[in-house]
Amino acid sequence: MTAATWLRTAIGEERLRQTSTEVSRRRITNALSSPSRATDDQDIRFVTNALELQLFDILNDEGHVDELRTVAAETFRIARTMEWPDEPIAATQWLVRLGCFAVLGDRSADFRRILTECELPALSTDSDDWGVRVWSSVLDVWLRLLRKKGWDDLDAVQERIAAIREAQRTIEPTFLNDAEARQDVAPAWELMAHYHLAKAAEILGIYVSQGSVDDRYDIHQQLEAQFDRAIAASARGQLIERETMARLLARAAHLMVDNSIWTVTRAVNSKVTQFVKSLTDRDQRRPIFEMLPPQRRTLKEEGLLGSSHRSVVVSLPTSSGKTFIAEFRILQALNQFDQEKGWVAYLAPTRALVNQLTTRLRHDFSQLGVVVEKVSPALEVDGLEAGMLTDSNPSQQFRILVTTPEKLDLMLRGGWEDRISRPLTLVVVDEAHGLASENRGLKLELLLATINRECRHAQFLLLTPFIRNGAEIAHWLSPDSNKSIDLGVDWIPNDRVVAIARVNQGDRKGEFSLSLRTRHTTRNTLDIPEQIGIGEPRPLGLAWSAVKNSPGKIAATTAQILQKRGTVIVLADTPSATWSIANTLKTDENKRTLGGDELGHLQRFLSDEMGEDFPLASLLEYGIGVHHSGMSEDTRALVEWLTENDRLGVLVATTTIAQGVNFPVSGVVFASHQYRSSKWPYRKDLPPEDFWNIAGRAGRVDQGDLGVIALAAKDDAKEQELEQFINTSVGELNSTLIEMVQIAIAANAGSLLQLESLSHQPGWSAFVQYLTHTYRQIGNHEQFAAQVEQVLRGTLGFQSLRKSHKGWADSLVQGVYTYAERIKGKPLSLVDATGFSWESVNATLARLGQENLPNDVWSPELFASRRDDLRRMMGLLLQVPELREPLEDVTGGMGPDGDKLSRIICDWVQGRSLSEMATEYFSQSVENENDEAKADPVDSMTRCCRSVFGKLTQTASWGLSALQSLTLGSAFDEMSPDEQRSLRNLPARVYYGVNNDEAVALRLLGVPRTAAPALAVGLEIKTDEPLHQIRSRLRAADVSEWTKAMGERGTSYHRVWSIMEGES
Amino acid sequence: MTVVAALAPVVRYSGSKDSAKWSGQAVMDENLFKVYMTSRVKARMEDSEAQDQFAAELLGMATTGMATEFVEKLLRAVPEEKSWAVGEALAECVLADDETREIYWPWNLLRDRRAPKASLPGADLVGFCKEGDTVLLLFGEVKTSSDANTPPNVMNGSGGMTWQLKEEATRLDIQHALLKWLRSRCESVEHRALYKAAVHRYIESLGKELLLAGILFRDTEPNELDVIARAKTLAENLGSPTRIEITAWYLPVPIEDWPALLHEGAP
Repeated sequence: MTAATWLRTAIGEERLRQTSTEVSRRRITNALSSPSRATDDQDIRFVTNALELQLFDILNDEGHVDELRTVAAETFRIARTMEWPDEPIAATQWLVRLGCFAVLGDRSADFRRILTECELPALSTDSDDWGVRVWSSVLDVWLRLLRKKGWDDLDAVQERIAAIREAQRTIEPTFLNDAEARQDVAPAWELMAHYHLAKAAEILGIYVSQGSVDDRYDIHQQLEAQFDRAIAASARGQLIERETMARLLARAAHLMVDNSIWTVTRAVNSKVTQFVKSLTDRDQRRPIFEMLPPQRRTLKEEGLLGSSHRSVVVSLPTSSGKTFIAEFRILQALNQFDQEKGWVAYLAPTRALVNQLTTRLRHDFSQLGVVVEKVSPALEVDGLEAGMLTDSNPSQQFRILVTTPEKLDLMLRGGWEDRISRPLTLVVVDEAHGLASENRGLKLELLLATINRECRHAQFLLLTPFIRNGAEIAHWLSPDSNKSIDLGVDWIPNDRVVAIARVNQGDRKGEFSLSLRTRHTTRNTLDIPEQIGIGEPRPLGLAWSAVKNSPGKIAATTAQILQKRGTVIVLADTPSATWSIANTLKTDENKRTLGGDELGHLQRFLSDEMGEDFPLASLLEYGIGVHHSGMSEDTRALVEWLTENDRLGVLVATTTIAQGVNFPVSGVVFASHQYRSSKWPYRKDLPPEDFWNIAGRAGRVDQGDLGVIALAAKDDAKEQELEQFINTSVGELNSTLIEMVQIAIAANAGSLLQLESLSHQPGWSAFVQYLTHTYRQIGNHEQFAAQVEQVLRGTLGFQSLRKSHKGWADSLVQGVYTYAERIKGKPLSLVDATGFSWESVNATLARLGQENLPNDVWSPELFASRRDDLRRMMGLLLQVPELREPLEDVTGGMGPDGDKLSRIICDWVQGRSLSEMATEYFSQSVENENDEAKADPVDSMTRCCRSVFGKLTQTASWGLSALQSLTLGSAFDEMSPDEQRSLRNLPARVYYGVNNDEAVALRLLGVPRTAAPALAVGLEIKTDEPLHQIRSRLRAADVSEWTKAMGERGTSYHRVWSIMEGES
Repeated sequence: MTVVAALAPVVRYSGSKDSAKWSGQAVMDENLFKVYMTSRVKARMEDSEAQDQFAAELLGMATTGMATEFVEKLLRAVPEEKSWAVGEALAECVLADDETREIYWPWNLLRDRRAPKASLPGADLVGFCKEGDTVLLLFGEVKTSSDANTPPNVMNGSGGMTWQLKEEATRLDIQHALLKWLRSRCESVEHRALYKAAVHRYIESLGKELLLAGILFRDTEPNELDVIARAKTLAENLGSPTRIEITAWYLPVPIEDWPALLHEGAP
């Protein structure tokens, strides 16, 4: 039996359960502003008091710190729903007590949120009654220390205490003389106790803000001395409440010291200290004084900061500050290899996340002089990137490179680590649960295996939401030096509710109302047995008949009600469904103004970028955003910014957003819980990791109270299906290699695996490329043959396969032997250079021979007068298995059409507008109700953007770059640097949709496509100018230079660019 | 029924109603009482004699950066009140010496006791009562009265024993504060076990199962009217499992002589 379980038993599980339900009911009905049954606090108070006794029972018992944390968290969870006393001193005493529970229970952020949302009690800190003044001041400073709202609170602590000291001689004598006249000695003891509590607050305040007190670090001892005296004085004065308050504060203060960023990061290295100073700097908009519990536990208690483990997996809930944890690990790695100027690769799965992370890391490390760069996800290294990567100027050399796994793979296989000539020392993988993703998982796995094999100094930090087998993953990358830090689902950033949203028919014609049925989940979400009615009848003015069978409209009405609490994301399965939901929300009651002339700028940009009638522009006037793959990347980035900065009431997005963005909202409403695809089975449930990842965005660490996740159900059957979906538990993170082998063996009826005949499949292509690369690195056939098992063991999949299916593993090994025979003596460097399998390289080389492309084919004219050459190239690329499918998708999938593809590419590079391209290439007529064939411009634009941004830019630039490698071969290395740069930039033109190198540079720096060419001229960008220099000039250019370059529109574009650069 | 052998009291009346019991115990032998006071009670009180030292506290206070002189002046000017301790020490002794059960005061020295009444209408006595396997929290009130009226004034009105006992029984906030305060005084294995057992009962019964002891010291003729009406009223207000025990002690030395008795030592 644990120390204080006896009290729990005494309270009774049933009573605790009832109280817990009542507390959840209060929180939920309060958050949703729905009517609740009136109940008094009596029972809740009794249970709170009993739990507090349990807390006091183990308050100073070092053997039961975990139990103390659990009890305190539970006490806080219940106590927070109780009414505060009316009288200010009593109310503040209550809040300080509540704050102590929060600190002891690791719920400080919740407590801060409570205080942010309300006015603090009006204390008489200037009362003429000295006793009242001192006690009010002491309560005030402690409340501020518990709240720590930036420097204002910490400054106020010192000011308040100084004020007491100053006033003492004037006011205290009269106060004590009165006591003497009454022969009452108690006030002397009371003041003494209060002065000690004030001094303790002063010490803690100084420590929290600067990490030492009078250059001393024995902070615990300094505090204990003050608290001991406060307790002793309270005892002498028979001040029972002061004494217990002092005991509680003493313990809370002890933890606040432990949670302080200074304590967590003490004595690691000078870079970390410098970083912490910058985080607590007075110039910071939100200085960080305290670590979130998962950060503290990971860095200190789990020892990540002092760790020398080569492979670490940190598995934490969404929104618990994983990036921040990574930043400390990065500093450690940079420090470790400072002399060698080692660099860190930070991998994120999407362009949006790459941009977001780059902005964040640049901001956070700005005072440390750590250069953070990103490279585009394009599968080629353009001239500017090449220049940046190889910059030899120490002050400009990047130390952190943010990119996608695919790009880093291409870089490493292309020998870029050597060219960078500094060691890769740490690989941070964000959203590392992507290892299990069907399409990209294996590539990431093989990349990590390659790095592990080839980069001598490389260490790994994998960040994932909750997974079950973190230890196995950590062990895979370093069997002898690994660590899995898994805080499971114990700690959540804020409380959440997962509920099914249903509509109920009303009594009057057309009337309906909405209700939420909360559901029990495995993630400590709140739930109550009864359903909760929310909002007024007939939200959005809709009628029962319109809503009853429409998940989209149910979701829209739910979002309409929830958006009063803050931004809500609505998830739908297709772009057309997002437009439909967004239009449902476009009602007069939602009309709003975006601050200043910002809306005008954004609308002007949208009109240029997406066409004049693109509906998003007008939706923004209603606080509604839309986000899906059928929009340009810049447009999506703007919508993300609007959401992140609270400019939207509702963001309607496709479910794919679950994989790639990171912004907190107050609620998430699922109109659909599935991904859609163009292939069978066409729809698939979100994996539980993705569901909890997006659900984890609901509720904010800095504001808001309860995160609400609602899933729209139109009938009982759907409700049941959704319940099952919610309860699907997170599984293990497994390599996709296992399933690939299983399918291949089944298809092969047990005979040998012939890898060459599988290599046309994307997963197997990646696998044989891994083999080929390793084969090439080993450089000797016999040695490779001898090491086959070892090479395979470098992958996570093979390790699992050996354990679970020995026979399959053996087949795979045999298949690899045979494959090695096959590639023996072949020019395998082309495999690394192209990202194609040897089979694809070989076939393409043969076709190139037949095509007989002219020698001077690689010129910018390719996108203009020599379009026919481009057509022939596209014809070739359409036959490459790795590229075929996405390229065919661009042209409509009606068979290979190199001509159309080349026309689209030329128009794109020449700067033709998306709306024109949409009309010309992507419109499909649909018969309307009058049997008239008509194309919907929004549909056309959706198809256009999905093709261009989702497939074309990436695949065609990759294909062209690969063709360059195949046609130029070693001739490339003999060219001058200028020629090399110019050649490298040709595929980049396709990637960025601009037609000169100068514009490519600006695109790389985030300038919108429409603005880049004109601005490049206006700013007189030179082709050979290094990237950092162009960036500085771009940053220095004010709005007038933009307007000079592109007329009045320049103002709007400047604003848009600033937004995308991460300015708010 | 209370049995305190050292005082050889005679039961002059007793009764019970529902949750309440009452009795009147008359100590007939003046000498026995004097010996009890000068040995047993005095010894308990002397624990608190070294109470007036505060130099260390003032030195500590100086580390807060506040001036200490005004506080020091008050501490020097007002001697700590001790008169309260006579009645309460006697009450603690007679309760602890009751041979029918075990009563524990969870502090070894009286000065640690410092009954919490300054900031709250707390209890004069806080302890544990053990009968067989049952341990109860004990909250008590002590009144001392030479009032010729019966019942004496100290039993009545706001601040009177009845009111205070009722407050102690029904004010959960007071009980809660007392229990937190009590916990830090129960560090020994024995006291901790008592605390656990008693608080368990208290919580399980939603704050009802506790023993309220009212001790009335009189130097008058025994009269059941001193307590009976009050005990019955309490029984009506505080049902089982709360237990109420009011004991009136009729003592052979006038109350006004007690300080002298203690001060001068043995008779």
